[in-house]
Amino acid sequence: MSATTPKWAWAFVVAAAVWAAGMAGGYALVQATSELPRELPPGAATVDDDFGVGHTAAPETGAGLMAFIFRRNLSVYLWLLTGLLSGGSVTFAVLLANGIVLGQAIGLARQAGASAEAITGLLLPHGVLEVGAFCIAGAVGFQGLRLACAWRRTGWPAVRDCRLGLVLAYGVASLAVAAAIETLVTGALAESMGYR
Amino acid sequence: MSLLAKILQRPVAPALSAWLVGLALLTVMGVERLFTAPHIAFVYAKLTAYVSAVLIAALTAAATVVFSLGCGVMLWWLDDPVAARRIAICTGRSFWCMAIYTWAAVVLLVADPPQAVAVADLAQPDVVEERMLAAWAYWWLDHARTASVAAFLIAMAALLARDVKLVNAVIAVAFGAGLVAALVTGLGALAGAEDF
Repeated sequence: MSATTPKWAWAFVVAAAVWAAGMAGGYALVQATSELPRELPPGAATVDDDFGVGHTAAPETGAGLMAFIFRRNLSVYLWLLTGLLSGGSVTFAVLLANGIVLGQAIGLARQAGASAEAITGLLLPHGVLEVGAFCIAGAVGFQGLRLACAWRRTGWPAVRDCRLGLVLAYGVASLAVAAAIETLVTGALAESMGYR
Repeated sequence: MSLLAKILQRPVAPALSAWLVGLALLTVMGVERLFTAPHIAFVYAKLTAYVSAVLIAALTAAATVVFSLGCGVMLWWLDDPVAARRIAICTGRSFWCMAIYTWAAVVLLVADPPQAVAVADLAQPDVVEERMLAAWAYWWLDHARTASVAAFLIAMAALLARDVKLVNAVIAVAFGAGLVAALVTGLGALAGAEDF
């Protein structure tokens, strides 16, 4: 193993740790703010009115929903890889932000009365593939700083060590399967639990 | 020599540091003055604003690297190549335009702070935007952001023109800017954002 060979296991652990820290932060924020007033004045816009300013609403079911989920996740995956161009800073920010969003969603679901078993059942089937793929992309994105330092010494071999082709192929395949599971399995599970 | 010491000696570090500190101050001052009421909506608004600021900082770093790579590749293709270190120095010096913009924003926010948003204002979704644009500082910043990016590109072309033909420098800068625009638009479209 050369001095420039990426330490994949460590990078994966760091990526998973950043994601987990974001999740913990998002969950803790929901708990810490549970006593704050929530009532909105009449006429105030809600999430139901507008699915995020400037964003298209998700299709309800079927192939449209699958494509929507896949596109969203693939864009996160590609943003994570741009850490290679920014010394890992984009990777850190995107992992943390997505972890916070997931932690918040879990916290809000718990506050709304969802059981831990129900949340686990709804997240686990597609989440393992999705979050696993994001952490792999994170591990690659975190090579940005090492790549910047190794580039001057070794040039293109430093880029080849990142195995971008393999990472991209795995990401596309993994996220496609995850989107299919989320649409077909998670949707049916949510319906059987009475959440849809 | 430690990795940190190497980074600090890079030609981009001073301007990037000045920009980062300015951006951090600008974000804290803007967010803390706008969202002061104890309400759950403002807690999430603050969180979203801070996470967005971290993402913007990281993405700007990536965009700057892509821009520099684009300039270098175009100059190489035009058979007027420049050393990578020279491009980094030009980018670092030009980046002072962005740093000056953030510090000017800080000064303007001190001189003309925005009025805090009240819970009742949430009934009128446009009120926050109107209030921000009513503050002279935000009106000015909206236009100054475009001006600072333009100044960055002009400065980059002027600095590169010391080493290559002026026309080649302009083409290289245009190509670098186009590459960044294509990357941001492409990933934005993949995520489903309508207004990227």
